Amino acid sequence: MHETALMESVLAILEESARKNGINKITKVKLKVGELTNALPEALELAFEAAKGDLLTKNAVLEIEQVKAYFRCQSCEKIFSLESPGFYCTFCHSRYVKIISGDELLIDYYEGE
Amino acid sequence: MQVQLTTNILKANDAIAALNRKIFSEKNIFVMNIISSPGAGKTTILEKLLLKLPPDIKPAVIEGDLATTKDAERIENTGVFALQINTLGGCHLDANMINQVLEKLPLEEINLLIIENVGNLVCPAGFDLGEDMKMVVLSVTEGNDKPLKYPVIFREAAVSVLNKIDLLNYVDFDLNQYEEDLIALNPDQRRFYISARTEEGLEPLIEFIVEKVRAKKGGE
Repeated sequence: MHETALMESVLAILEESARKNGINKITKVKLKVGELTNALPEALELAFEAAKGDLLTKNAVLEIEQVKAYFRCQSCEKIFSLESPGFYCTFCHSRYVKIISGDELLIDYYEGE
Repeated sequence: MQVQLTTNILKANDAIAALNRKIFSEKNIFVMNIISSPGAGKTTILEKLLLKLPPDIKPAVIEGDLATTKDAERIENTGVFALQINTLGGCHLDANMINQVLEKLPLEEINLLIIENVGNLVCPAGFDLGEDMKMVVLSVTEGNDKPLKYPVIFREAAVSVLNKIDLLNYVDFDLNQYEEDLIALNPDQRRFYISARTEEGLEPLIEFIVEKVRAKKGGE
């Protein structure tokens, strides 16, 4: 699954940042994962456990915040979430809607020493 | 010590995708990334389509596959340059895999690059390769519920192709529901209905692609 590729990317970004900040040990990693990204938290955790085997992240704890999808209707400007899939405005049924959250895949922050 | 990053996990991929896109633009090559589940008929569509392109359209194909070179061999039989990328179990192509094979492609001689992604409706949707357009292919035997089950790729793809329409009478595929769901997901998407086997509906799809290639060639 692509969670493995995503986690490889997470570890590469962490390594680069840790080197810049003089951090030798990462203790916690916090990710924000939107519900529209098809990335499953359980699979991300598994990929993290499998990939974190080096000294930098060996003892790190992974925390994943799932971000709910919200949309803004471009016709009536109202904001709504998706109770059922369909991507149309629940107020005016317009199909022109813009994603305002739920498509993010971010490393929010990490802690280390 | 806490370090705030707020960094996109796909940052590295997206940077390489931008680089690929720049190279393709400089050489006026239109790039199409084809995504479907296994067995929807991507390779068969390509086999038929490549033989019918007018002489000013000069294609090459990148075949993404978990293993084997079977699909690349099928494309080569049409006389078109095909390059195989084996992902060795990886479920999608990423921008770096494309970047690494660029020098093996006859970039000076082509104006259309078709990337046939690994058969999978989930993972390839998340990875920008530097393409101009994503094309999602669904076959009627898979069921009309797939756009709502895999909304990301059906929302991202500028073009959708429903394949195997010659089998519509034999399967429970609700064409109206399919269309309604696609319009809800992506109102601006161009939709095509074809049978690669009988070649029904193939012409409008080919015309559409030819138009895109010519527009890019003209620098539009």
